[in-house]
Amino acid sequence: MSQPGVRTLEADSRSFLDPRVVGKLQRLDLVARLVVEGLLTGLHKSPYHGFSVEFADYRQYMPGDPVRDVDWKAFAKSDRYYIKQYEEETNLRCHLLLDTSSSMLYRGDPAHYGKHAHAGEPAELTKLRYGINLAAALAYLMIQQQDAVGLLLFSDRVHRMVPARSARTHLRVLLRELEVEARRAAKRDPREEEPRRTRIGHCLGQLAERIPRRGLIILLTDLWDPGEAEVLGALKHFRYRQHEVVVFHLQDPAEAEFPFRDEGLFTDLETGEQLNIQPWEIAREYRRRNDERVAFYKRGCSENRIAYERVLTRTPYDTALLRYLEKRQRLH
Amino acid sequence: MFGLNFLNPIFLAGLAAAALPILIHLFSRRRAREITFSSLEYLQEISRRKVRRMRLRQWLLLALRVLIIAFFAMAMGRPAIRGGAGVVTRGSSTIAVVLDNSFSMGAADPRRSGEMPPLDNISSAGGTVAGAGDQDTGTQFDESGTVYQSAKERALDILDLMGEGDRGILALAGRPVTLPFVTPVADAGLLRQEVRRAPLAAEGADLPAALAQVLPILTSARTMNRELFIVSDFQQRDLDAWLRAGSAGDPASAGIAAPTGGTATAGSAGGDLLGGLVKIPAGIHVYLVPARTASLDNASVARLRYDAAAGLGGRGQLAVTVVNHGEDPLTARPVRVTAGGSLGEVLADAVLDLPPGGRGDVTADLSGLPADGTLAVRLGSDALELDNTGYLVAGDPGVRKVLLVTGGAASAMGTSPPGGAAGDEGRFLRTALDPDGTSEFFSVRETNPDGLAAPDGLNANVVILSNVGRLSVAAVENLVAFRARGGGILIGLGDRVDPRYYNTDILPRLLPVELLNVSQEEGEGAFRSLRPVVLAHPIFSGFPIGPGDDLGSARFRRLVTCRTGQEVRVLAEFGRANPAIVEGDGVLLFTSSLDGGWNDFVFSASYPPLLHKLVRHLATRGAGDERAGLVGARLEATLPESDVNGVVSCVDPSGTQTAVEASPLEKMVRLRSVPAAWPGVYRFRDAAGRTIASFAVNLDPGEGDLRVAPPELQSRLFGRDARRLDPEQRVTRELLAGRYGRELWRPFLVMVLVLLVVESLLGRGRLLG
Repeated sequence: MSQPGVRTLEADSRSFLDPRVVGKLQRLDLVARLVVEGLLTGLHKSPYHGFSVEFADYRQYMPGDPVRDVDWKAFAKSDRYYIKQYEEETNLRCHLLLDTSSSMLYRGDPAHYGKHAHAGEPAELTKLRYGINLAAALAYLMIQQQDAVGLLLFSDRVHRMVPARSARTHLRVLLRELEVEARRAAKRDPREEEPRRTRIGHCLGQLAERIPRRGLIILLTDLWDPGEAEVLGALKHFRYRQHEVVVFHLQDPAEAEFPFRDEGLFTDLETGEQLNIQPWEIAREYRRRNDERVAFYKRGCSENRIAYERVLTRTPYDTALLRYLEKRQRLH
Repeated sequence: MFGLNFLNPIFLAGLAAAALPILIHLFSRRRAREITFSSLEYLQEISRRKVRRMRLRQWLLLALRVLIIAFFAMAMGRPAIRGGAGVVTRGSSTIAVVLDNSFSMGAADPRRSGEMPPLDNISSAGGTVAGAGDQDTGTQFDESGTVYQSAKERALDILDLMGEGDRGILALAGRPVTLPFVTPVADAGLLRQEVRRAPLAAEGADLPAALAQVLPILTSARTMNRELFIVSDFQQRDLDAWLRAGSAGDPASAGIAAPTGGTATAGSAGGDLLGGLVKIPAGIHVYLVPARTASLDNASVARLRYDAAAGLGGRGQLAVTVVNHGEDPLTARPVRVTAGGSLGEVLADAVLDLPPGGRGDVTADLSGLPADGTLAVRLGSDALELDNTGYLVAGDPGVRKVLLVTGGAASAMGTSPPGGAAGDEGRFLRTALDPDGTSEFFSVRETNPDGLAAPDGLNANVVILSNVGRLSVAAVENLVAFRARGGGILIGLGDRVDPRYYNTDILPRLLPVELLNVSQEEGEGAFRSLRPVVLAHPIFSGFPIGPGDDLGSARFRRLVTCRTGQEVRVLAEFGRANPAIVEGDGVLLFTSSLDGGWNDFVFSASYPPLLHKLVRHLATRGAGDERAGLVGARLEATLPESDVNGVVSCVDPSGTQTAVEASPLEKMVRLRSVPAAWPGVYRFRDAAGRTIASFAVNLDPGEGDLRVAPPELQSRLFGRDARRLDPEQRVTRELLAGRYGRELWRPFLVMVLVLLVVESLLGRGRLLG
């Protein structure tokens, strides 16, 4: 027999995977929790299972040690108090690398497409906001499974770096950083403020050196970097340093589909350059070029065992989260 | 070389629409909205690669769209070139045919002599043969064998040139000029039908008037070719007259110039025709189509006069004046006098000999007049039959009452009037008209200017103002009313006349003539002579005309020069440009004195008869004592009310009745007919069928001059560009091969379609995509 109340609750929870729903929420902690819970509701098995600490050695009980850490089986055998000692408090160090360049502030506006445009469903959020929400959800999920999570905000340089830690209280730190960035992004007018350019290859090169230990690198970016080979080289550098890498290629639907029909003066959000474009003349060429880039990264990442996922900003978050979980599972 | 020309240039205004794509381009550029985009990386990269081709394509599209509209507008404007080749259509033409149907065209055509009975047979001309025989029984004219028939055939040949898209205009140049259609006609059949039934006119040709009507229509025609064909016998007499009028800047001809302008085509630069009388716009080709080229000998009946008291036993005598226009003498030319109305009764026969280029009289004694007083005279046949007949209505209209006004305040000229004591000034006039007070023709009463102001009106047929100084306002009003009632006024000048006063107070009310100044012949024995100008006018009937004639014998020492308006006619002059006798409506002005003061006219033998003629003419207001008029004139009679019974109609020689305009005057009725169209005897009949007035209407004898103007004169009058077509030459397309241009609207439309296809392919990216 069905339980309508439960199903409704489940449906409500899953609705928070939809960027359009989440986009209406302001509090990032709430966003993170709702998104992750929405994801977990749909999973058949808890992702936390098996993610516990890893046993390393026994040591003699010392006064002050938590009593719950006493290994009572060992006490029964040897009549001595032994404390289980773990290899680490967490088994994964994860870094979220979020691109905060000006191009990430783009959100397709159907009013610009023209009367005769045939566009798909537009995005509700900018790429940056989508990336922030996704990063928050990932951070929440990671902290929940006691992984150490770090955060790096970059564009043409590294703006903020929060070292990876696994403490629950660290989640608040991460969310606050993301909230600050979200607030800052909301106030940014790309045409007035000095724009932030994208230099992914350069920044990743720096970060690869600063993240010495083997871990998980999750890159959230729109990949608007003309140096495609440099970007791929930097990703390879992470791999060289034994990192697992996941690339979320965030794209607005308008960037992927280029639905513009009316002539317009196109303004670059990063450089402020302007170009008079008759979109009908170049749309096909644009799409072809975009597909080429996606294919380039997909192929390059695949060859280097890097997970690459193109995510349109109208895509539900679970796609990206599941991709992460899949990768996480592979690591263990 | 090819000259591009547009037949509907108004459509070229559509070229402005060619600017629309440019305006749309500029407008849409301004409206390009700003669109923020994450990165221009791809766009710049693509633009760099494609921008040159895109721009080229856009410019090509813009140019194509401009060209499509421009070519379409030009196609609507019907472009045409002269000559040309390739896939093009034949140029359309508007053909104007001016057909001279003046009665000189009724002359026998020597080239068609086989088609006509011999002409030199008086009996055949008497009534059985077409031509003269038909004239008195109707206005039908048998054209067979005449120049007119040849002219019509040539006109029909010309109209045969009309093809699809062509238009035609027809004008009949004989007075009064007629245009069967006022707009160009596409149906050549209609025009041919009009040509076939175009009647011969009984007057001369008025080519300037015909061209003045045709040229504006031809000018406004929007066809490639505009051609004017003048089919005429090109009489030297007419061409001389037009040349004189043109060189004198004839004011009467002012305003007949066709509008200039239009689109010029190569081949004809436009210019003057007829010595400047007609301006021909550029782009109109003139073709002269002579109906005959050889001059023909011909004689015309110029004048008839009947003297009831002359002849054997005083039973009446008819004097016939004949003009020989030819270069050969007339010998033993028979002249037959018949009863004018019936043609049946032969009243007398005579024989005439005339030198070449001269005129002479032949008299025939009659044994009395027919009951209706109408006489007809016929000459033996010659080239032109029509003018071999003259008509006369002889009869006694009764005693004319003449009021002779003399004296009055002296004018600025101040010399004492001649003739001795006051009161004797009118003695020459009185003596000439009614010497002893018993004349059966005139009853003269004399008065002074004050007598004219009497309120009881003027009880007279004619008022003579002889050397009258000033008139009271009432007197002038009386004269105006008198004239309006049908009375006639004869004005003689003299020392008392102040031209300025006459110009301001008298003449403006009576006669549109401006007196200028007194002209005095200086030197001993210097004088001027009177010379008739309108020979056919009734006032000169009976006078031998020529060197040493009676009228020229008088010596005029003083006269008043004057300037005449268009509504008056100069009947005689004192040398060139000095009018002597000026005729207006019911008024005759003699510019010298009638009382002997300024001349010895009163002692001349011609004084009494001319005065009689003048007074008789005025008394009958234009009908003359013989009641002879020319074709084209209105017939007038003023009769007592008691003589007019009911509605009066005019019966023409063919028996057709036309309405007569009746204006009531004081106890009189003034009757006026429509212009007489054909020579013969016309009668006014009242409701009871009674003839109350008869008129003889004759042809202008000058039209019988069948000399053809030499080609040089024709070239001079019609310009060097006018092309003469030989009478033997058929008018064919080949002959006019040079006329055809080529219309290019079809290639232009094809070009539009091609451009549309290219534009469509380019716009869809199939080309340069």
